[in-house]
Amino acid sequence: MTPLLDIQHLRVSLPTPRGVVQAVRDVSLHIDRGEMLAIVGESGCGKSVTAQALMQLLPSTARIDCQRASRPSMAMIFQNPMATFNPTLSIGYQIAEPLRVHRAFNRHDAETETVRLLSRMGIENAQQRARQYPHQFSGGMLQRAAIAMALAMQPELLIADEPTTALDVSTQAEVMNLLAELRSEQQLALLFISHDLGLVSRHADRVAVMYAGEIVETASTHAVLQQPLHPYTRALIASLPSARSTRLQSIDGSPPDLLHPPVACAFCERCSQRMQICARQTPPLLARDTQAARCWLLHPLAPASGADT
Amino acid sequence: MMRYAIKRIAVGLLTIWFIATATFFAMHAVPGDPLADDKATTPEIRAALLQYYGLDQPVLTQYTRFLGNMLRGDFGISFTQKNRSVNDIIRAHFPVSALLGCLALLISVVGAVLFGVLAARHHKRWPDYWIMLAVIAGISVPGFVFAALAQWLALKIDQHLGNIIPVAGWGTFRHMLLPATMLGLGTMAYLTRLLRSSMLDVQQAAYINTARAKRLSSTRLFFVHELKNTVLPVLALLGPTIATITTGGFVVETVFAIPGLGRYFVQAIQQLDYTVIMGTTVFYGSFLVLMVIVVDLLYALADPRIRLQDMR
Amino acid sequence: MTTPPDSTLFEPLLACPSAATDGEDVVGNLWRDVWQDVSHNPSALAGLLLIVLLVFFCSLGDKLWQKNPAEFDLAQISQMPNTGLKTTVIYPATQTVAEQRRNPVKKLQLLQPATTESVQLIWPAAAHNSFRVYRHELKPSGIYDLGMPLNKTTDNFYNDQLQLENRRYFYSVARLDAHGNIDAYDTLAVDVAHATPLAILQQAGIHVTDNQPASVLLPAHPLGTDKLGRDVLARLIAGGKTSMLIGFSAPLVFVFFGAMYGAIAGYRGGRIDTVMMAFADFVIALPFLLFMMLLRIALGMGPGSNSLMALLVALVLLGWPNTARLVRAQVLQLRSMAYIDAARLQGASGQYIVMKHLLPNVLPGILVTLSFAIPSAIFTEAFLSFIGLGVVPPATSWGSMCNDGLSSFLIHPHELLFPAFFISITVMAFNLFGDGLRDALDVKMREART
Repeated sequence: MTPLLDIQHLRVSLPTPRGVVQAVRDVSLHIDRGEMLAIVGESGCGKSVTAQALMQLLPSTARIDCQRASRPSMAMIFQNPMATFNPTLSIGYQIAEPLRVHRAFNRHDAETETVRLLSRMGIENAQQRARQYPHQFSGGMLQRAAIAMALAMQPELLIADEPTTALDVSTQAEVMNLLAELRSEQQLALLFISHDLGLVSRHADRVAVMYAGEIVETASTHAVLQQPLHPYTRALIASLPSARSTRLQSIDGSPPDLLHPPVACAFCERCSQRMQICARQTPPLLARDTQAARCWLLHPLAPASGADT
Repeated sequence: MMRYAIKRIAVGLLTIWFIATATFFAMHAVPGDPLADDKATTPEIRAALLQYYGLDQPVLTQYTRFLGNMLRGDFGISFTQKNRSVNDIIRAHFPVSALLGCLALLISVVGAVLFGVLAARHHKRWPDYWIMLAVIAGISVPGFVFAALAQWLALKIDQHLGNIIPVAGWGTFRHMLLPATMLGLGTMAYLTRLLRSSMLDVQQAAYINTARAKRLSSTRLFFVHELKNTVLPVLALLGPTIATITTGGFVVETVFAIPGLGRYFVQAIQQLDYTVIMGTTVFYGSFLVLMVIVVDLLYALADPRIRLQDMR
Repeated sequence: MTTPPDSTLFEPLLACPSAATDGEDVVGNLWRDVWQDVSHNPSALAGLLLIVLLVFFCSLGDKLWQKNPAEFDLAQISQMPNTGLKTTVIYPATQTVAEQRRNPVKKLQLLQPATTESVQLIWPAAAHNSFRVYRHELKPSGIYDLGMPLNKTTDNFYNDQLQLENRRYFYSVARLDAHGNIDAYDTLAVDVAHATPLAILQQAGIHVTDNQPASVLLPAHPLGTDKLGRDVLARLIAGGKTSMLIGFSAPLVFVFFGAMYGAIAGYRGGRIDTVMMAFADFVIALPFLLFMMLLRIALGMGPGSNSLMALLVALVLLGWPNTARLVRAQVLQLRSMAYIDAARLQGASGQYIVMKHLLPNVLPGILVTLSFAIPSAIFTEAFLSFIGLGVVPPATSWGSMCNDGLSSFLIHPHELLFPAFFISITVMAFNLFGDGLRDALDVKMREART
């Protein structure tokens, strides 16, 4: 079965006043129908830029290189639901817009469909609500409406860029459950972007860990949590609040400046197990079973202790 | 919304009262005697004139009478043009000023939207640089200079190419075009700058990204999503803009010899025609305060965030 | 990706080489950074340079160009810019025109050299025709473009004395038929020399030697003279002093007052704040220029009143609320920050907190306001002077010079253009500098907060 989405060696560079930022340096991804892939990483690691490159939302000045790509129909929901909607247009108009523009619905059908979508998202009084404006909605409701708007495009793949970060915890759970339902109900594939490994681990099928514009580790969620291969992934897991340890560990240092990306391993500076080679050569994506990570510790010549601690 | 409107109107009425009072006392504070020059030749004529204008009464009586007259819309009789009431002057000349002002406002708003959008869409490229250069010039050069230069240019055109644009005067649309454009230039520059930064803000907004994610055509994106949000915050500033154009009209009317109220106002000031100054000041003051309120209410109607404030 | 050649590379690395970074001073000095930004902003720098030049022009200009701005040069009324004009002296009654006119001529010609005092034209006489004399500043292009008609005559002579200037004119004499239509015409280009009657020269205090020289040199007026013969350059310097005085002093006073007002309102808070700000909003709602005019009339229209003071007071009375609003907003914001509470808990006095914590934070905003208040004050002064509500003679300002120049603008544009140019340049310089300053401070303040 061919994957729904398949991109190989995606590179994105963005010109800024200070210079060209190589925001995405080498990212390969694939997602199957109905699958949920989570991209996890600190802010500034390039995960949002990856999503925007997929959606072709980057400014025209951005340089995007991609060797092989199959793109399904996609829609996207964003981080801040308050800013997602145009404040001067009604919610209903904005949801109906793709219906009318792309799917040639007439006014009446578009209205009916909008109300149906809103109700499906669990919004009560959908008919009235559709006539209201964004400032009359709460954050959680806006995010549901945003999902409705995305679904109006009939996507095969929904990209969700930190959709719950701006919401409180209980609303967060509701939105996550809604997404899970839609996934099973409509065979909707999900590319879920988050900095929260904990949230992701409960929902995603697979996880890709991004660091400094590269995917440093990718595997099934279970494998990543049970046996992380990359020191960065280990550090991320260690920084999760958990029942086992009461001390939260943070990662020392900060990610490299992507104006001048490192020539070797990007995590070298912050890595506690770094070796001579790490400062000299970029590690390839090295596989172990179904898992793969960009780390010299997985090399046959590396001291065996590395990956198992 | 209703409460907002009522509050605005109440404050507006208070402001108008204050303008009337300030005008009255300002005129009474003027050093010197309004009848000092040749008008009052003998004590009898002087007394008669004082009585005619009601200047023999105590100040407070004069003030209450003045307020009463203002309420009834009676501004009194001109000092210099005998037998001509201030109301007549306003009625005869304000329409000219209003027409000139409306045309100037139209020109400046249309030009500003055009140039502001053009500059923002070519941000940090040549059209932007040229427009911003022109904006700096437009903001820095006083309106009367524009007016005088345009008139000089019109004269030169007249000398070399024949009568295409009238140099001065009033009557046909051709007469209005040049003064109205000159009157609108400063405002156009000011609004262009605002619209440009407003448009730049809108282009950065997250909801535009959402709209782009919906794969809308660039025409639809611009007209449905960007334009309204760009113009909205600028609409709120239209009140002060009307004030600028109104006072700018005083000067432009003087330069182009247009028989508008502004020119009569300036004349009245130079001739110290007390009743005309008082009447016109109160009239203009009330007009401007009302325009600001009207603009604010229109803005509130246009922006759902304010329109629907009371009902959540 | 090639396999690395040897296993020594897989030994632990203790210090990562690229980890070494320069110890950069991140916080830095706000003012130094702002200056860095401004000095790298060409338009702001140009604005600053212009401001310095203009201040220099206004303050030291009268030391370099020592001419009395109120002195009338009767020999040079509304004269274009010049560096010393040679004028023909006209001595009383030297030539009788009548005897010369007896000699018949073959075509249109001058009877004697043309001067600004008179241009005497003579042409062949015709018994049954009348003539019309025209004057044009440009070469006539045809029968309907002969210029301004001066006179209709049956004589073959015309003496033009109408507002002549030292320049080239095109005189046309048209022969009219019985119906008054142009039959034929002849055009003559005439270069008019500057000439002044002896009496005027003596009045203007120019010494003419006894040996009756044909011409004398008039004093130079690098930017020309106005319609009263006053030196425009000297008046620009004097007017600039006034404009700058108003432009600097009024904003300084009202920005200071507004800052105090806003600081008190914001610091006290509660009902005092509400009332104070309601009043500020009320003043803002007044039509600014209309009230400027009103106050200017009320404060000093009478004889002997100090017009400058009236303008300053009016500007201060109406100008302060914007600063007050700005400072209040910043004070409110700062008040809510923890470190102010910390200082208060440590027993710092209100005055100490204001001086030590609030002032440094609101100062940038105040400076930006000031840099925009100055051009707007200059603009306001120019507007009021232009409609005759500015400074009164003998004082002058760029705005009132424009007002003076307006009546003769179409004939002598320089009388309006020079002061207008100075107003525009000054306002532009301050705007450019203010823009640069605001941008620099905006960036710095934002960086400081994050």
